[in-house]
Amino acid sequence: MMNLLKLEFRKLKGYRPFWVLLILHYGFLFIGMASLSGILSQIEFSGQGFSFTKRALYAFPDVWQNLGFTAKWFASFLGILVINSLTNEYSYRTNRQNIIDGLSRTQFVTSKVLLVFTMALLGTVFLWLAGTILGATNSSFKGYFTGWSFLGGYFVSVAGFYMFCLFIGILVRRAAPAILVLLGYATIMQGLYRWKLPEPLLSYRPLKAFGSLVQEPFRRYIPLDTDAMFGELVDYVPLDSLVASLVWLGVFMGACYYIENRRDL
Amino acid sequence: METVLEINALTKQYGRVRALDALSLSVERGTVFGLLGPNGSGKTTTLGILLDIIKPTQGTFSWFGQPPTHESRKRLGSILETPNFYPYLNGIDNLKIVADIKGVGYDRIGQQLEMVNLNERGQDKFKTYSLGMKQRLALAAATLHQPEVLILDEPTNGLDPQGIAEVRDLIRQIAEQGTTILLASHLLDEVQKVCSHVAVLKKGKTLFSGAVDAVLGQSVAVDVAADDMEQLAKAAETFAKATGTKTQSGKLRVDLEDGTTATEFNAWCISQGITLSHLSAVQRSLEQQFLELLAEDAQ
Ligand SMILES: Nc1ncnc2c1ncn2[C@@H]1O[C@H](COP(=O)(O)OP(=O)(O)OP(=O)(O)O)[C@@H](O)[C@H]1O
Ligand SMILES: [Mg+2]
Repeated sequence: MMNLLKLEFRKLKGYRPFWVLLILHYGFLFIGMASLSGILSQIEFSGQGFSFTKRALYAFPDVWQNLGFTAKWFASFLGILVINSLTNEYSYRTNRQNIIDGLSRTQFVTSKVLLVFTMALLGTVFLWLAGTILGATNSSFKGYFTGWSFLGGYFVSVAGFYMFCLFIGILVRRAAPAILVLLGYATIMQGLYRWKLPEPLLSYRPLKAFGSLVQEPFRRYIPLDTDAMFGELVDYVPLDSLVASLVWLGVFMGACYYIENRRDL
Repeated sequence: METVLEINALTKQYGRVRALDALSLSVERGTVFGLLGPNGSGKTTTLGILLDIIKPTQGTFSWFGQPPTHESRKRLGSILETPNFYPYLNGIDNLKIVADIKGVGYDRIGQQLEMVNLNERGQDKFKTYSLGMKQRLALAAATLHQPEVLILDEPTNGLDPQGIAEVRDLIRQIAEQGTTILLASHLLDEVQKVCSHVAVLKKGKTLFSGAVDAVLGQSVAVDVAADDMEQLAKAAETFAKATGTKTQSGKLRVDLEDGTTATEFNAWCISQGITLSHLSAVQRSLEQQFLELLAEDAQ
């Protein structure tokens, strides 16, 4: 296992676009997190704005969900890196060479699955660090150890999305079409689901399930709750979304192994 | 002798195209085995299946007497069609990746680069290499762990005459160290120059498989000339051990049965009252044999 991760790291080590995008991503994310109060105070809807203090925004345990939800948006962009690391292997035909040299097809997929989990873990650790720093500097350590379930929820949510990207990459094998399929899926398939699936099942479709783990928290700062408009605040990781996400994660992962083990390369 | 590779009735169907049709072969340790055949005869498909990048429709094969696994592939060194490396990594890092996969150390990398004359370019990115350099890096990678079997598909494809000679020399050197080599090519003279054994494929079937000496046979042909060429032609046709005659560039080419010598033919001519003004024995080339094999099969 460690050897496969080491191999993957050796492949990526000299691939500059990967590191540039990764560092830019975390740079912008931290800026986004640190200026969250500025951004939120700009947002207005029907003459109303959010009402909050900076201290409340970064206070434990709320900070985990506030920042987790913010980080989730940024994390989607890194899906491109997952797709790219895989489709590169197909376009350079190095996946064939890896197999020829003595990697099994299962090991090849495992090295990419490990990349997915490592990137999700990296994001989660970053969220934890940023939350700790921003929380401690803007607020106090009171309640520090509560609300960590959002860190777990964030990890599953991001790992699930990256695994979905990996699955699309293995299916399509080329970078640009894979990204198109990903975007197309988000629009066309989502519409199709809405049209075909009964209401209760809708919330269990893959991207929806991943997205429901850390839900939008900022409605808690709307002073006069015009209930009908915004719905209820979900300030926990919903268990049914977690189960659905883990199932989908497993399904996409299994599909990657299944496809790669069966076809001509 | 130990059998390194055994192929049993391998079949590969691509839609309506049957690329391999119940192909069987075996390769002994220490031989340089040439897989010969016209374009599209199934050479690359065969090697691809042996290396698990193509799934066979039917049939089995075994490496080193065992059902194939990725562990058995680690004992092989292979280049299939084009050299495949990470273009943004330098030569050394690319070889490190191969070493990681094979589970061997990095200590032989320098010496391998030296062997293929790339030691000065080891720090340069693979994408900056010329085709010949890429090909040579692939050879360095394939022999990095001193494989028991080296598999090459058209190893001299796209190289200039000097590059071709260099790669052939490398192959011979590697063979001399006792490495078994399996080489696919449609260049007959390449196979004739380096191979000890050969299998001729056509439309996914073996037409012939055996030692190169056996396919070439002991048979020779002679080129002869005399003052009266017509009389010579008649005499040649009546010679019991002649299998065919044809006139080419002012001389008569007489194909002789296996084991017949030029001396015997000369004696026959003298007994017929003909004095030869020219007599030279010609070794039949693999190319002729190959074309004959294909022609026989077509009938
Ligand atoms: N991916 C594929 N899809 C469909 N048909 C294929 C595929 N790959 C090979 N074939 C067919 O299989 C047959 C054998 O091809 P193969 O590449 O093994 O030939 P080859 O002996 O290596 O030829 P060459 O000397 O040109 O390299 C050909 O008829 C080819 O068209
Ligand atoms: Mg070929």
